Amino acid sequence: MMTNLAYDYQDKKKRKGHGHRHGHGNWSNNLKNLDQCDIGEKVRVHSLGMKGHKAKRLMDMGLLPGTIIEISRTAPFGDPVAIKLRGFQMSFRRKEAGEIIVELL
Amino acid sequence: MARYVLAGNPNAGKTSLFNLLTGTRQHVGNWPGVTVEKKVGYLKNNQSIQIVDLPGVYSISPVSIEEKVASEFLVNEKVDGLINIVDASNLERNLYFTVQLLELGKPMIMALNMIDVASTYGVKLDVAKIEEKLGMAVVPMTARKGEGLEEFIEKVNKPLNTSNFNLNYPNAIEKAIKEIEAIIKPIPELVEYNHRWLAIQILEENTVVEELIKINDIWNLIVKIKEDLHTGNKSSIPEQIREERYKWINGFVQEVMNEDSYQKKTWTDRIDAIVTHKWLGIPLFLFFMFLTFQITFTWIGVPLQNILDGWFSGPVSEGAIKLLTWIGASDWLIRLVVDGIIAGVGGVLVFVPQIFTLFLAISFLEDSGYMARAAFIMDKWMSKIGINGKAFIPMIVGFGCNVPGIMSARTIEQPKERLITILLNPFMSCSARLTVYALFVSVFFEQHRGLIVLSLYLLGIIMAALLGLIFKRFLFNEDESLFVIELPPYRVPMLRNLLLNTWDKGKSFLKKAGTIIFSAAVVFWFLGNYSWTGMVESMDESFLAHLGGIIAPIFEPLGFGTWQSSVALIGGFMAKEIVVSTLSIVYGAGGESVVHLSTAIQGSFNAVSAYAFMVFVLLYTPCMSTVVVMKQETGSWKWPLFSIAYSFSIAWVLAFIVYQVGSLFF
Repeated sequence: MMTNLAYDYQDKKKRKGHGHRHGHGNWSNNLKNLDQCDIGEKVRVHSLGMKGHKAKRLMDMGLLPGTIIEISRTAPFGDPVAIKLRGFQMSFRRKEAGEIIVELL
Repeated sequence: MARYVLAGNPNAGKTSLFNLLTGTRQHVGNWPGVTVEKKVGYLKNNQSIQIVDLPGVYSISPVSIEEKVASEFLVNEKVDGLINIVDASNLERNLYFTVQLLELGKPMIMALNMIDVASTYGVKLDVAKIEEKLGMAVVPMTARKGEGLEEFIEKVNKPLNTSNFNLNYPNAIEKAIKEIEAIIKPIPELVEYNHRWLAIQILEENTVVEELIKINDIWNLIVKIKEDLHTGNKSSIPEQIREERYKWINGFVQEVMNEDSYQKKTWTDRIDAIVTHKWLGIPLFLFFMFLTFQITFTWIGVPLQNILDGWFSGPVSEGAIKLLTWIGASDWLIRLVVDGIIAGVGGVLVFVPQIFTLFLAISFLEDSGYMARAAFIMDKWMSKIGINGKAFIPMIVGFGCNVPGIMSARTIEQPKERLITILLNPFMSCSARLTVYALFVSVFFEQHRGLIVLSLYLLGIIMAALLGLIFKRFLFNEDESLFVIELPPYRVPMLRNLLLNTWDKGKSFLKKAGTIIFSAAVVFWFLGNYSWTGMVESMDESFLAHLGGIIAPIFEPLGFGTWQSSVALIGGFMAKEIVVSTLSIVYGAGGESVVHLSTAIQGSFNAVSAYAFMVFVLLYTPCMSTVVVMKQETGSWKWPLFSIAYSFSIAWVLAFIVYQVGSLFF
């Protein structure tokens, strides 16, 4: 059963009246943000979209451009998210997932 | 003497291996960040090899404090050999750190651990090929079970091989590396280092290495090389370096490992589906917490406590009296031993079963892998009050004792988040406070022990949440908060490791009993039986009573304005167990046994004031050891002093409300 992670999130954003975040919805057909993926979907990382110590930590754990990942699950209410990569599972917040750009396989 | 360093990812079984190699007992947990400190030991049967256990890290280039510790050690200290422990069931990611270590160019050996787990995934590794390609001895092992140990010890006792491993980076980067090497070469202070490794680490922006080099004027030249390299590239240099390494690792893994490996983790997935379920997840978590409390107090803890209690007040006391009388000890000495020491220390030791049971439960949750899920589930809510999901473990550890709880806050990278976690930790009701609850609950709340104790724990948690919200508003910068954790596969903890783990945590409790509590018991007994005129008949005339009497009025509105309570609370600042031990002494006047404490307490408290007293003890100030550790971890006295101030105020106000309002109803 697929749950679209992005569905609730985008709706809530519209209701709260936040401005259109930079990058959302401006992509060519096969790119999207990680938080827009479904559970069970397999994608390839295009870019991390963040800098500094956050990017470093993710990269140290093996999340790099070109890495194939699978969205495995989310915590109750959708945050944080967990992904599978390189034979193990890790998790981080929705916020960071929203900055990571992935490419459909 | 040769110094070997044990290095590897978190969760790779490093601690098990360290124990096996050195024969010491260490903390073993199935969660990243549990082992934070450096530990040192000597190879069993070979004192000439020292082994240093570094914190588990993902990379030499540091982000977290643990990585900084590891990085600094590798850069600044004399290292004669590297023992790289690798999780065979998680090979790709583990190899990233291996590559960095190989680039150091030191003698090295690999412990290819968790081979059993890898087999259950259907993973088969060509060990000979790995040895050949990496240029070092590789020993397949399962450290938890001790398998492979013999072979490993045999190989580690022989000289280690220095690999000629060399990873070629993209041309532009290789060129920059050579240029940097040329600049570094003439510097005398850096002559001992592997220059290629230094150059690569500089390009990787390793802050520890940067600090090492920055002292020299050459730094400006190096900065120019970096800038020239960077122009025209969309990905940064560290990113390119990482990519190249993983590219190599991918190729390597395909050559040494059979395909078709990562499908088998279905049990973990099945359990996770339930445990992180949208509606079941949090209720299940609360259920597990409740179950832990039930087992600890109602089912195991209390029955054992009663047995111990009878034993101390009966055979032990009587035996002591007989023995001392027989050797002709004077009366005051007999009284000191029986009314002071046995009453005081015994009063605390009866709680050992409950405390050890609690530690056992925590160890089980850690070792099985559930703790990571708990942090995963709770992060969203914890962030709302300014605490990182990673603060979950320090908080849970704090339920055992605030001292290691505060120390394990080191795993939180962001300083302000770490500070808040440290400040809130004392609200996690520790095992020492438990001794107070256990005592009063057995006297006043026999029917609802578990429930009352749970209410106190919850009250602590609620106060922590409220204070967290306040601190967050004034102290916090949300943008920097980072939550990234690994969710390891579930496993059935091995009983032996669980027991070792529990003993490790619990022994400090016993150690405290033998030292601080013992001394306090002696001091308090003396103060309670003497005054200016010498030994007194009734404790009411002693030094202690006078001292307590001065302070008692503060507690009058809270329902326990007696000198005995006041004195017990003062003792509680040294260690919370001393509250009970002091009460045992001051109410046990006249050679009475521990069991009579209950009667005495019934006379001085009622149910409402008892609850108020427990609330006060829950909140009032952290104990001395906690205050010292707070200073250590925050770097200044202002935070522990701040903690003492607000804790005492909150405790007083809440106990006041409980007593005044409660007295209206009960």
